[in-house]
Amino acid sequence: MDRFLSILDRLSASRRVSNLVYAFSVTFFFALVLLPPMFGILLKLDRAGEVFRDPVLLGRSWSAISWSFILAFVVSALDLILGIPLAWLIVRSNPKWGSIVDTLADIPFIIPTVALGFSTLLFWGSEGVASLFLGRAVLTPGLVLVMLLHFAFSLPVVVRIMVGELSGYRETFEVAAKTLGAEPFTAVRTVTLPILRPSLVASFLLSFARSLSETGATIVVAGSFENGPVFIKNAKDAGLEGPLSFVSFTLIVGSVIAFILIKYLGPKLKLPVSRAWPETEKRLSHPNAVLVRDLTSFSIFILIVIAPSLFIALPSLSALFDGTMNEALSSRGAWGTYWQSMLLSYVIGTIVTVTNMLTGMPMAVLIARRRLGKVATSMMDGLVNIPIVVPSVALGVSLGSFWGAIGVLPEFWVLTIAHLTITYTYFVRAMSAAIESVPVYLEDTARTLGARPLTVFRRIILPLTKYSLFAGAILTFTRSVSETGAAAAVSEKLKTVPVLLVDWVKGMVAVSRSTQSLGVGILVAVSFIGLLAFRLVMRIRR
Amino acid sequence: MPQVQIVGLTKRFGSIVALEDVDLDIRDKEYLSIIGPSGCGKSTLIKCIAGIMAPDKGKILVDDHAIGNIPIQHRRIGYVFQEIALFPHMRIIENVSYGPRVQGQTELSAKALVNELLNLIKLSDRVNSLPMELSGGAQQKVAVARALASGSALLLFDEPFGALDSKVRADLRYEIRKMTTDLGLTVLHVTHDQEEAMSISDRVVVMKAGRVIEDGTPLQLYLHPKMIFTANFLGEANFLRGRVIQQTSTGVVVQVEDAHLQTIDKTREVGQEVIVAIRPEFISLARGQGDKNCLRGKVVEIRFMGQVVRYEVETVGGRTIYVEHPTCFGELEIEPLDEVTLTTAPQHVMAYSVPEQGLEKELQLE
Amino acid sequence: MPSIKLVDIVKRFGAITAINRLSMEIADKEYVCLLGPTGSGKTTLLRLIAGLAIPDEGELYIDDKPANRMPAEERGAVYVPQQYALFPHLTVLENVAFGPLAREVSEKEALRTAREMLEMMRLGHRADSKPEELSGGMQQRVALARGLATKAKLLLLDEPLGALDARLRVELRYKLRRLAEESGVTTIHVTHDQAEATAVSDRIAVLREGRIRQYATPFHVYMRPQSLFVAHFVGGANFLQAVVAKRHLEESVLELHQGPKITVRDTSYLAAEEVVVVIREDHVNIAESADKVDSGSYNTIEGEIQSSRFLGSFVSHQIRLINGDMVTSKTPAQRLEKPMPVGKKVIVYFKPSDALVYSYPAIGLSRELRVL
Repeated sequence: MDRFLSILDRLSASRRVSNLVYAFSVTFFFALVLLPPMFGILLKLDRAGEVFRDPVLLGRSWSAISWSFILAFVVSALDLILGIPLAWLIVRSNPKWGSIVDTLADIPFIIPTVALGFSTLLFWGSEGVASLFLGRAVLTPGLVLVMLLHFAFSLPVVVRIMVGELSGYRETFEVAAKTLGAEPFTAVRTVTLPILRPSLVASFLLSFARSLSETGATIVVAGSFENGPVFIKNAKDAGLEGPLSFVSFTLIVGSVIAFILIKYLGPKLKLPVSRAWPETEKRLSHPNAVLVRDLTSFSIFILIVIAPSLFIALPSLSALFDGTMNEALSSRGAWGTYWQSMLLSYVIGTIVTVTNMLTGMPMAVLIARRRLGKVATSMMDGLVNIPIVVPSVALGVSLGSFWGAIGVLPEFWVLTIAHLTITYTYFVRAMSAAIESVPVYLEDTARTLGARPLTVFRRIILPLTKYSLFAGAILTFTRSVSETGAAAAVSEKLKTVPVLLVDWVKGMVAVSRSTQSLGVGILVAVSFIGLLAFRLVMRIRR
Repeated sequence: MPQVQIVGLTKRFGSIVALEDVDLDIRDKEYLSIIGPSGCGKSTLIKCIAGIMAPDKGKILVDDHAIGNIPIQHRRIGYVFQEIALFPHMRIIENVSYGPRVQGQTELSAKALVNELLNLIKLSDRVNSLPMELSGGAQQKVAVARALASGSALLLFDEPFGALDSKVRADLRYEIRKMTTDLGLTVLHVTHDQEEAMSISDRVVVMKAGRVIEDGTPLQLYLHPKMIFTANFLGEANFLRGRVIQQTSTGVVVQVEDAHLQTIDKTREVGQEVIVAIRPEFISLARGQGDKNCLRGKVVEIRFMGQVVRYEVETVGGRTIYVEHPTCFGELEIEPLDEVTLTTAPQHVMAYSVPEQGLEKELQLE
Repeated sequence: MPSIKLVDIVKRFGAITAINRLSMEIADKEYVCLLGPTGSGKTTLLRLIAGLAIPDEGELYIDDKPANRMPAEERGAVYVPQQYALFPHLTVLENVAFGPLAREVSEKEALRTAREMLEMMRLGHRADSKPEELSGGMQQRVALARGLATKAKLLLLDEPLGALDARLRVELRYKLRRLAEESGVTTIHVTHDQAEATAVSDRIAVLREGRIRQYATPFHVYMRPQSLFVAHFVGGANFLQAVVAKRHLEESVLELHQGPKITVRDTSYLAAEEVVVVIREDHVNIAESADKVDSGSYNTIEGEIQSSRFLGSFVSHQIRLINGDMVTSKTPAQRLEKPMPVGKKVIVYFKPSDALVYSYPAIGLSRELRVL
């Protein structure tokens, strides 16, 4: 082994070899992740044009597209409004309560979205907690329910980013503001938040992308409401290829434009920092005011985000005891397909995670260390983000059309590539952020001490980023298992678990409520194991 | 007219004692420096005065009012940070006018004061620049102006020049000192740089391991340090172990190797073991074997150091002594390996009891 | 046989030229300081020599071998950044053994060398500690031990004492110098502190804006600065504007602002030329009255004390001369223990040979001296 490593090590010193490795990684990205969807759209452009002949369908298409963007925008703004006080609660307030909220905040992120959707549907519906008090459903499938759902699953994004920023934030600026006479509230408003503006923009963007992209849960709670992903799924089921392509195409283009606009205009947004209202802000800084604020955010958080997300536990647990579990274990009826789908999801998840780690690592190094020069690196960084900017169902559609046109790949591999495309970004981002945080001077010094590039990577970078590596891998895996949109767009005969569950819940396959609940519940339980592993790794790092 | 009184201040971080029963008085309009090695508690002390940290025990009084319960923003104490901490997203004028604005003043009413201060630091032409467009020294001047604009008559400087080049540091300290004197401010200046402290302060306080070791004017601490740590920390000194052999009317005589060194210390007993400290610039070198009662040795190394020439001498007893001779006094005709005698005046021989834990540990800087 | 040779090196970062046609030679086992303000290019130069950056133009030779494209790991030049760069996830011993291990020395051999190095630094008892548990001074010694363990011939130190307290800096700089001597390595030491550079180096290269302004022994840089900038940056100096009044064979007479005349030994400037007179602070003396000074051997000007500063082994006075110019005088403590009172009328005097003369700079004096 040592001899093997030392040969590789010597090879790594050669510029040609290292260039080859990077070239392979970049080619992989373009050939498998970025270009196929682009070409896929182009292939179907003519079919997309068909939609202009049918005014009703055209109207429906535009409506779906507009609602996607409006929804994403409104929900992201709301997420910031709740997310910032929550992040403050976690980092600054009581550490005990803070860590409870911190743990809970990850839940809507780790639970597969189709499960979130189903849980939310039940919670607000006639069988839910709300109905106990009102005797009927509080909310039925439709726009409001979709909004609440999107608000819930995008919130963790904001909280995670803001908590990370706040924890690392140098309080010196805030303290300086206070020594100049600023009340705590004023100091945060005029100094801390403006300085953290890049993270505010980043949170908004990620939240926006998630809302645009989400398919599984939205379908479950949409009812007759249609945003982009819902429309695409409906169009696919109805065989309307033209409108399907049109909406996919427009969503892809629209999301990239929206992304660029927000990214470049967001930082220019002026926050009001020139005036202060000492008397009012003093009252707002008072411990009582802070308590009220914390309690309110916490209550909203529990009522609108956590309770609906976890509600599924109740029907699932009852399904454990009413005989449904036995059906499940004996693979009777619909359960046969369920376990097959489970297997499919996890096999794909594993392949995708390993592939992403191997091909994404050189890319992460390229980006983190700016090896292509400043301009090319930011371009590459931007391109790598496209799979999460673009709605996954639209990506799935164009991937399907591309590989369908080529015709050689069996469905399993198209499905795998779809999952790979969706999750590629997560690993690369996690690793490049981790590598960036390793000071370059450590590498510089190691090199001058005589270490060749592979040794530097093995003995300096890897040990110092191994926790991010694990976290990135876990994130990739859970995201893959959870993916609905692209999978739904691509699949014909093979169904991954989320796609199957959507069919179950929407009644495409006739199963009892119990079966639905248990099916969703098992998926959630397995995902929780992933969440625990993630938390464990993060705690060790700290 | 802020004068500050600190009584019995104590602060612990777990098992680490940052401050141990610290008493300190700062007079109105005084420029006081606190120096000491890293970890001596000086930063913790001024953070407690500012309200950034809360002490475990003790009282802080400003103009006889206890301020322990007052939050930072109401203490009206200006603070200048080592990291400069100008708000990066605000222009210079917005930074300097921040204090008045958050206290409710409109930009217009604050304008006169802000412009006056910017004039004072000679940066009126950079009002609309962003902090990152200014050099480190300029940024720190703006930080001082900003603290003054908020209406404080008491300023706390926390290693304010630490992030700057040594040349910039040297020039800036005099400029800031002049400004604070002209404005009649009381200043508490924390630094690890003893030359900085000595050159601009009315009084200097020396801290070590959470306690105040000694305080006095720069002159007192440099020429007549009462504690051996102060002798080593403020400037360099040669430390020689010897024994008191005689008491005279001027002071005791200490024997070090063959030399009899006259001191002006009258507090020692004959036969007592002492450590004698002599600063390198107060030793005279002469070629030759010299008087039997002088310290004798051989020159090991000579280094040109700009304003002084530094001689490393190995005494006949094997000790190393450093001597510094000003270049402006002309060249001493001494070469390496020459035999020399070392002499010094009685007032420059400082005698101390032998530290219990040993000299090296007592003088340890970190 | 010179150890390092640079010929016409140019290095650009976008629109900024960090190194602007620089040439220098460093002899084997020499201890050289690169001295200059922030942004003068000294760190860039160090990194070029280390192989962490490639010059845009010019040639670099290490032991007479062309080294422009030689990879960093083969140069035998160890780079120690200001933060020491101890690997945080390895113990002190593993840190020091890193170099030998990377070079495929057997583990047993590498650890043995590492232990020896640590013993030499008197840090053997901390072999199993993590870097963060050590004080700044100790971390520095570990970083040096780690570099020397690779049997490197060249030590490249970037502000090695910068992260330490002032007093510790003074104490450790001599130890640093001694260590380099005893290990027989060539050392290049980057710093912005001229006192430090003067104390430790065989030669100092004063850098400004990517060029070498003077490259000589500390004595020459201090006593015979080649330019106004070098005079200003290394040690304190007074700068007086003057015009050449009369030019003789052995000396010239210069006229300062408002009339006072002084004699200087430098006769290279023509009559009516505008010049700047540079006198080191410790060459400016103060006497209480004129009869205490031999006006035949010294230039004398009346003045009044404006302020004074106690500097420990020196006392400095700021004096306003009768013509309005301000000068600083530094007097050793042996001559004057306590500062003179403000307002006292004194006689300022200095030797003609201590007055250095330079042409008046075209861009103006304050811009020429700007340390930014």
